Formats: sequence, structure tokens, C-alpha cells
Amino acid sequence: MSTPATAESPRQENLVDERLVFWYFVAALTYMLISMLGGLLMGLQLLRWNPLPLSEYLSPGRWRMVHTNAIAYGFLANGFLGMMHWVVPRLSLRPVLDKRLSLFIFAAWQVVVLSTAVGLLLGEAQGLEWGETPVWIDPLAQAGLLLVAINFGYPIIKVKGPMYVTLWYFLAALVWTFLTYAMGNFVPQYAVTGTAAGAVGGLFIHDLVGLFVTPMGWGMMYYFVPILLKRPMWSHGLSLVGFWGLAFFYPLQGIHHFLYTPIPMFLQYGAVLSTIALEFVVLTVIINFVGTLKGTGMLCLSNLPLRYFYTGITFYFLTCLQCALQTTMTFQALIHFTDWVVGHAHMVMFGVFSMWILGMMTYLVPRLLKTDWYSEEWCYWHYWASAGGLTLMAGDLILGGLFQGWSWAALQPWDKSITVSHPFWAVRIVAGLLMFLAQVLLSYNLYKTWQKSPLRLGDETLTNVVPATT
Amino acid sequence: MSTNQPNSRIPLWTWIVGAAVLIPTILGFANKFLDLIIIAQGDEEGAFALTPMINYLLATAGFFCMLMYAVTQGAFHDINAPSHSMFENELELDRRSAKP
Ligand code: HEM
Repeated sequence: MSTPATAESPRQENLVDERLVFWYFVAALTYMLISMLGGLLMGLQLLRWNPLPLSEYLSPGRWRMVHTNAIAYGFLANGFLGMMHWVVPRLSLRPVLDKRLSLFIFAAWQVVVLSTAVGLLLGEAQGLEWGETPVWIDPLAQAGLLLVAINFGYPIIKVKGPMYVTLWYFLAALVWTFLTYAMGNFVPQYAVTGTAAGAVGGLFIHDLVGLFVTPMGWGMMYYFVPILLKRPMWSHGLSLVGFWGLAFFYPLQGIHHFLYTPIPMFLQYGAVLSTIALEFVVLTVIINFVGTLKGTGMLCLSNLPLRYFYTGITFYFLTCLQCALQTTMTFQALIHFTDWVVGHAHMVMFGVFSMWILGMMTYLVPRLLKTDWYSEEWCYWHYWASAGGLTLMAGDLILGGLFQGWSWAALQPWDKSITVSHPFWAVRIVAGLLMFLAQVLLSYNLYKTWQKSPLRLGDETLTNVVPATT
Repeated sequence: MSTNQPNSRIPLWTWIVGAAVLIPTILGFANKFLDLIIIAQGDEEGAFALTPMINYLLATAGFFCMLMYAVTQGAFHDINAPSHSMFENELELDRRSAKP
């Protein structure tokens, strides 16, 4: 980035719409709570207890889709959009294209997510994994993604000279998300059928994680970690290796979700190879973050947002380690269709990306509301209950998955594997409740912090204060 | 912001590593591409494999254009400079916000 901070440099209040960032966070947390309720309902159903048996609209199968969709489009998307409203203008030193457009996008996105939830409960799901958004919402969501790309893309492409890696990640994510959504929701619905549609579905599921969530998440880390550590990244060059590696190797990986299917073997092997290549890329990213920490490791423990970030990085490393196993055909034969995969999914979505978003909120909320957290102790409780609950849930499901796989491999009757699974599913509920309560506590803490905020109380003298970070 | 002029001479080991990575990759890719053509031509059922492959090739072509754009923007000249300038800008923005 060549724009230097000169005397004419813009100020924070002209760059960032802090109110909007806060609204996005509130929306994100609301959907997180809704999604977790859905997860709990589905989890209880697997234990043969449906707490809401009276209405088909509340059947667990529908709640399961609400669970995943509310997390992806409600929590993650809102969290990332709020974060981008803070990060992009500060990095590019330019506001987004149009602040009114930002408000419109915020409102429109909430309509999209709410209609998705209602559509799913009414039984209008599209028959595509992760693309269950009813078909009539797809064009709206697609238009919304286009507006998002234009609004944030403008300040990014205005940057002259070499760009900081975060902006590369965001620029790419804006384009990729738009294209990935179109590919996953329209191509299998209208253009291709059968196994080809399956292959495209595989690309879609994985690209949603790899080309939307991953670049947003890493872009965010490359911004916040150096700022909190008060030193630049260990190697910006290495971070660019990570970015371009992701760009070239990721799109071919989706088919690793469909090993042992009728998809031609050369495509399956291609997916395996590109997964292995990406493992090396991921290693460079992790080395870079560990290198940046060199000499300041204890900050990871004493600074709470950093603790979230590095916990997420550790989980990221673990999920990639799992991937290295999962992508071998031998191991895949054991764990395919088992709860191992569900454990892996929770570890990456909650352990990594949600922990990052929650850490980012822990850091930004005092700056947005111009006051310290109502209770810092509750922030610590939130961290421990979230990280502890997730460790329990992921460990439990991963182990349970192995038992299921062994039960099937031994050709035991199907219901034997269900009996084996029950204790693991019961532990999942305990872990899930812990994670849920953690988010309730965070939401209540946020509410109480907002109540004492000088912004709400109209105390203008305090609104320029930058509170100490937790 | 670093003002060091980048060294324009590429060290020998860069070429060696580059060759060690690129030659097998290009050979592997060409081989797989031939596989694809044979499947697409010979086996009617196999033609569906074209969909994800074409998706991938299009996406990669896009990334390649982006990479070339990055090269023209000087992204690989003084490779660590953006990291330092981002940091200075951040400090400056915070200093300005702290002032009433
Ligand atoms: C209260 C806590 C939670 C509970 C009880 C819970 C429970 C569940 C259940 C029962 C399923 C369906 C598994 C199956 O089909 O066999 C599921 C799937 C899933 N959940 Fe959760 N969940 C919780 C929190 C979360 C969070 C916070 C995230 C993301 C940030 C998440 C992401 C996912 C994903 C991605 C899947 C799909 C997994 C797959 O299809 O392989 N869950 N969850």
C-alpha cells in the first residue's frame, strides 16, 4: 500500500461507520443463538427425543438446515461483513463506495437470511447440500453479493501500488463468493444433472469454506494479529505464498468430499493431490503466524482477543492434520459418512472461524461502544466455555465417528452402530449446551456494555475515548 | 515503509527450486489433461467430468490474470513494504482518533 498517512489522511470517523459494524455484530450473535438452538433440536432428535413434535414446520430435519444455513449466512456472513466495514476502510484509507448502499445491504441481507430460515421451515428447501436456500431467494442473495462486492471492491481497487495481503484476500473473496454461490445454486439446479451435479455440489461445498470463509478469516487474522502484537507480520512474502497457493490449489479440492463415488478416478486423485499441495500452503501460513509471535508468546495468554485468535490457529492446524488423514483413500474408507466428518465440520466452523470472529468482537466492541466490557470476567468465561465446549464436542464426535466406521467395517447390523453412537450423541448435547450458554453470556454482556455506553447515554465528551483492549 | 531497493539478481537456488517445482507440476498437469481429453472423447458417460474441470480451468485462468495484475502493481518488488506501511497507517489513524 503506497498511501502514506499524511496530514490530509482521513480520520476514523470519516472512514468507518461504527454503528453499522455494531449492528452486524448484533445480527451475527442473534443468528448464532438461533442456529445453536437448531443444532440442539437436531441433536436431541438423534437421541430419539423430539421436543417439538406437534408441527411439521418445527421438525428436526428442517431445523438442521436452519442450523447450518443460519451459521453460514447469518453468523459468519454478518460477522465478516461487520469486520470488513472496519478493516477495509482503515487499510485502504478510503470509505466504502456508498454508506447508504451499506445500510441497504445490511437490511437486504437480513431479509435474505430470515426468508431463508422461513423458507426452510416451510419445507421449501432446494435439494442441494449447503445450497438449501429456497430457489426464489437465490437471485436475491446473488444480487446482494454483487452489491457487497461493488461496495467493498471500490476502495480496494483504488489502492495504488502493492497491496497488503488482507486486501488481496478480501478482494478475491468478494469475487469468489459471488461466483461460488452462482455455481453451487444455479448450475446443478438448471444446467447439469446426475453425477456431474454431484461433482459441482462437491466443489460448491468446499469452495464455500475455502473461497468465502477461509480468505475472510485469514484476511482478518493478517490484520488483527499484527495490530494486537504491535509488530508487522513475520514475513509478508510468505503470506502472499499462502494467498496464491489458496487461489490455485483450492478450487480443485471439492471432489475430495466424494471419494469412492462414480466420479472418474482421475478427478478423485486430482482432488487428493491438490489437497496435499494445499497442506503445504497451509503450513506456510501457520509458520508465518507462529514466527510473528516469536519472543512475545506470553501475550497469547494475557491478551484475550489474541488468545481467541491463536486458539483458532491451533484448531486450524488440527483440522488440517485431520484433512491430511481424511484425504487418503484408506482412511476415507473408514470415516466416510460417520460423525468424524461432523466433528471435523464443527472444529473448523466453530473452533477456527467462529473463535476468530468472537475474538475480533471481543477486541472491537469496546472500541465501538467507547467503553470497556461490562464484565471482563464474563469475557473470560465465554472464552473457556466456547473453547472447552468445542473441544469436548469435536473430540467426542471424532472418536464416535471412528467407532461407527469400525462397526460398519465389521459388517455389524446398522442398529448396532446406532447403539454405539448414543453415548457420543449424548455428550454432544452436553458440549452443545455449554457452547450455547457461552454465547448467551456473551450476548448479555454485550447488552449490558451497550447500556453503559456513552454513545447510548449521549455523553459526547467520552465518545473519542479509545478504551484499553481486553 | 522500507525504502531498500530490491536486488534484481535472482539467486541460483531460486531457479533450482523453481525448476524442481514447475517441471513435475507441468508434466503432471499435461498428463492429467490428456486423461481428460481421452475420457471426454472416448467415453460418453465420462464427458460429465468436463463440468468441474472446465470450472477449475476457468477459475485458474482468472487467478492467473490476477497474478499478472499483481505483478504489474509491483506486489513482488519490495515484498515486505505493505506490511510496514499498513502498520504505520494504523498507528497514525489511532493517534488521530485519540485526539478530540
Ligand atoms: C449448540 C451447539 C451445537 C449443536 C448441539 C450442534 C449439533 C449439530 C447436529 C446434530 C448436526 C447434524 C449432524 C448430522 O447430520 O449427523 C450438526 C451439523 C453441523 N453443524 Fe452443528 N451444532 C452446534 C453448533 C454449531 C456451530 C456453532 C457451528 C458452526 C459455527 C456448527 C456447524 C455445523 C455444521 C457445518 C454442520 C454440518 C456437518 C456435516 O454435514 O458434516 N454447529 N450440528
